Amino acid sequence: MSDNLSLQTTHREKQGDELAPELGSLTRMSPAVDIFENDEGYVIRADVPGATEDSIDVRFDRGELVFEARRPYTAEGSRIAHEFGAVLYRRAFRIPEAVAADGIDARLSQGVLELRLPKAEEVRPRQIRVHA
Amino acid sequence: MFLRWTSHDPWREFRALQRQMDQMVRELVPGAGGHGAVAHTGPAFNVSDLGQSYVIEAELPGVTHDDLRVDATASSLTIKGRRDVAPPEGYATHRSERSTLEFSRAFTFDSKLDLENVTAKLNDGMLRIEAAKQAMEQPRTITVKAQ
Repeated sequence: MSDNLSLQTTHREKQGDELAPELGSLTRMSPAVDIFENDEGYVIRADVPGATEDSIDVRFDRGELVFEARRPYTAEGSRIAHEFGAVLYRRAFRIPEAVAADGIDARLSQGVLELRLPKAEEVRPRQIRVHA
Repeated sequence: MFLRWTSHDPWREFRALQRQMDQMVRELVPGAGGHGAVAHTGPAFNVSDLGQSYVIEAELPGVTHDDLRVDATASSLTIKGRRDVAPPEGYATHRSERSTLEFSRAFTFDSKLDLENVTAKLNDGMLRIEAAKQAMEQPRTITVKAQ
C-alpha cells in the first residue's frame, strides 16, 4: 500500500471564465474526496451535488488525473437565505503508480462522482468517457 | 451548600470544553476525526420566496430518499437526514474528506403553509422542496380604480 498519492488542487489553475465563458458567475470549488486503494487500482469518490452528467470532464495525462463538473443554478423569486449558487467543481491528483488509462471508469450517482482507476504498467494520455 | 458542592462533578466543565474543542477541530479540518466522525457543519441550504410558495433547496450528495425526512407544520419545515460513508469492499482508505453526515435544519416562515401542497424531490444529490402558501397568505394585486 503506497502512501504517497498526492492531491494538487492548485495545479494548473485556470480562471473560471476561461473554462466556462457562458457561466460567468460560477464559483470554483474543490469538492471533498475519498480515495481508496487496493492491489487492483484506485477508487475516488467526490461530492458534486447537482452536477450534470454532460458537464463532467475527466482527463488523465502523464500521471495526472483531473476532473471537472458544473452545477448550473438559477435563483428564483426573492432570496430569504442563500448558501450556494452555480459551481465549477475541480480537483487534480497526481497518481504515483501507472494506471491503465483506457480502463478508467466514471459514474455519477446521487450527486457523488465515482472514478475507478485500474493499475497498469503503461501510462498514456486520453479522454475518458462518462457513463450514465 | 455542602450537598450542592458534593453533587457537582468537577470534570463536567472540562468534558464540555473538550467536546467544544473536538467540534471546532472537526469544523476547521474537513475529514478530521476519521471514520465514524459525524460532521457538525451541515449541508448548504437556499430558501426563496416565490410569492405563491416557498422553495427550499439543499446540497445532499449521497443521501438517499430512505435517509431523508421532511416534516411540515403550518409555519415551519424540518429536514432531517443522514448518510454513511464506507470504503468499497476490499479497499483500504487512502484519504477521507467526505464525512458521515447527520443533520437537522428547521425553517420558520412568515406566511402559513398549505400542507396539502408541499412537494419534495431529491435528484442528483439536490433536494428541492416547494411549499405553497395558504391562499389567504398569497400576495394579491389590487386594481386601482379611478374615481
